Formats: sequence, C-alpha cells, structure tokens
Amino acid sequence: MRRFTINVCVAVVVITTAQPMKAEGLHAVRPLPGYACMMLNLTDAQMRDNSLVVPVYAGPSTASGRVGNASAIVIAKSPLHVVNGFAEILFPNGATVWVEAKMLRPYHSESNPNAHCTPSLMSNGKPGLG
Amino acid sequence: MNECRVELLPTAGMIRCTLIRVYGSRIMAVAAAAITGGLAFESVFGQVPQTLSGAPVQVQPYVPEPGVPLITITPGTPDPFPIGDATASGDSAGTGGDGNGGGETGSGTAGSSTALSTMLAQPWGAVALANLQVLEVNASAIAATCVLASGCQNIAAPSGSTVSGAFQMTNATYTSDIKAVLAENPSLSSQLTPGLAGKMDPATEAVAAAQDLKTAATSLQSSGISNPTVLDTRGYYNFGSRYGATLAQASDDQNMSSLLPTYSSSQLAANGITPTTTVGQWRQSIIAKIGNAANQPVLSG
Repeated sequence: MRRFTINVCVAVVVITTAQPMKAEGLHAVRPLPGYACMMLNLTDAQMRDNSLVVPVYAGPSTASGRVGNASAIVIAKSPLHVVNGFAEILFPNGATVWVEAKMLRPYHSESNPNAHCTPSLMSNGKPGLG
Repeated sequence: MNECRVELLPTAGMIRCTLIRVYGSRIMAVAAAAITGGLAFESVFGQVPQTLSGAPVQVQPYVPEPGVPLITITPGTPDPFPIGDATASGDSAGTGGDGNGGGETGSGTAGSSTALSTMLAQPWGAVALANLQVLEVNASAIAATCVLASGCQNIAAPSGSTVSGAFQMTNATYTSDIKAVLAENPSLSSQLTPGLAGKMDPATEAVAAAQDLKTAATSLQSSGISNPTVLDTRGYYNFGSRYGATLAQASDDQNMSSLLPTYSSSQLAANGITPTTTVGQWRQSIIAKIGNAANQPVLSG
C-alpha cells in the first residue's frame, strides 16, 4: 500500500513569563476640583446597620424620585450646594444626585487624625476616593 | 522548534493501490463495495465509524501552567460555564474576564476561575452548579465564597454556634435566603434538600449563599457601584453595606482607616486592619485567597 506522507513543520511559540501577570489596581488619576469628602451623619452602629438606608434623589426633593442609597463617605459639591434642604453630591456612577443636607457632616476619622480623603477621577473613569 | 509528522491516507489513492493486489472475481467484489459509498469504504479498509460515548478524551495536564485555572470535566456534568466564558466559547466581545484588575470594576458576565475549579472538584460541585443556573449569579463568585468560608469543605457547626456547611452560614441567614430563593424560583424546591438539613447539603447551601451574594451586589448597585465584583462584596460583608460601597470606589493607596471613619482602632484591629493597612493591601489579601475570581462580577444577568 502506498502512503502519501506530508511533513508538517509546526512552529511552537512558547510565551513564558517570570511571574503571573498582575494588572494595575484602581487608582486616582486626578483630583476633582469643586468637590470635598463628607460622611453620613450616623453613629458607628447606624453606619454598619444594613437595614438603615439614607436615600438619594435625582433632584433636590423627594418628588424628584429616589435613585439609590448613600454610601458612608460621599463626594459633596464644595462649597456645599444646598437647595430645598438637599445637598448636591456625586454618585459613584458619576451621576449628580441629592441627599438631605442634615444627613451629612464633615469628614473625620475616629482612628486616624491624619486621615485624608480627596474626591478624584479614578482609573476606571468614575469618581472615587483618592 | 518542534516537528510534527502527519501521515495522510488519501482514500482514492489507497483504493487504486489495493485493487491491483486482488484477483479474479474478488476484483468485482471489492469494486462493488467501493462504489457503495463511504461507509463501505470504511468497512473494506478497516476504518469503522464509532459512536462517541461520554465526553471526549480530555488533556490531563501534569504540570500546572501559571495563570491557567485547573478545570476538571466529568462526563455527564452540566456546562461549567453556562453564562458565558470568553475562553470556552471563543467569544472575544467582552464577556468573561478572569479578573486581574485589582479593584477595577469587573466587566462581562462570568468566567472560569481557580475558585470555580476548587468547587467543581468537590463531589457536590457539579450539582451545586446546576442548581445555581437560574439565579443569575456568577458561579465563580459562589465558588469564591466557599473557598473563603471553608475551603469548600462541609464543616459541622461548632458547639454553641449555628455556623456550618461549606458556605458557613448561620441558621437564620440560611433560612431567610432559601425562603427568598424559593419565592422567586419555586421550581427549585424539587432540587433542594428541605429544611435546615439543606445547610449541610453543600449543593443546597450554595443556593442560599448565591441569594446572599445577590442581595449584597444589589445593595452595592443601589449605592452607585455599577457592576459589583466579588471583591466589592467582601467589603460589604466585612464592614457593612455603606462601607462596602465606599471601599469599592477607593484608590488602592488609600488608608483603610481613612475609609472607615467611624471605626475605632480596636475595631479595625479586630478586622485585621492595622493603622497602615492600605486598600490595595486589603484587596490583595482577598485576592491571595480566592485568586482570579476576586475581580469577577457577582451578577451574571
């Protein structure tokens, strides 16, 4: 029986790395001028109570529609922009939303007097805390 | 460079060569067989079609490759990546993502992970995966939970505690989560172990754990975190929903004590946070435990 033989040369490219690739983590790209960190005016126990929420709204009134809940530290317009008892803040998704101004207080860390918080544009293109 | 020799047996050429070796009436017999079609060719020349029984033979790597998750495929198990896997499906349009972003918000739906491989290596892993398919929660996220909680081992509750199972849930949390799952997916009831006994059936407890993760991810979404990752939900579980959202948008070089402003030094220490611990270090401590599942999105829907 006659057999046809084909020789196939396969170039094998081996890519090696000295260590597993690690992408860069979330980081601040630049500060966001006109904004400052503030925190919710809650006690420590209230802050960690998942059943207690501080709603944020699309506009400076409850009638504007609730769009979510505030996190512990918020990025507030600075100087504070209050309309109808609601303060303007920047949501983590980049939207401008409003929260009751009485629910905010200046940023301060109990455990770290040197703590800092800078509203920043983050490497994922969203506002964040640098 | 490696050389690979491939031998081809072209059918027509083989037939011609073979016919000249047969004589008399046998020539006609062979020729008749040859013109009846491919199957006759195969019979005459010893190439018999086979029906595949079970999964194809799998490559069994004996040297693990850095960065490549170990996947064990057991014949008869459901698709381990039912909700999209860029690698498995060949889809390069942004689904999947093995999550090495270190705090970046995950994208896509789901993907393989070393955590998922760990869960699938358990006797109950494939059943758990099948149970999870209707819940729109990334299987890798569930797997990461069991890896973190127990190394995916079904552990009984210690004396004085109700925390048990591969996902280490309390009786109260488990009962609440299962109730929520069955309210939305009544058809699942036939697949789950009823009552609290289900907590010691990892394939059932996985469903409750998935509901818990879904709740955490949904809460983070309502706080403006668009596509919560497994890492983001760890912040939610460790420090509460409000701080979970805060940590999710923080820079790697931020100090943890700056982002948990109502925590006292002793409270931070109880959570393994020193005065100098950064967000990046905290994230890396989780990534070290669950690997590339850390930055995968929790929700797959």
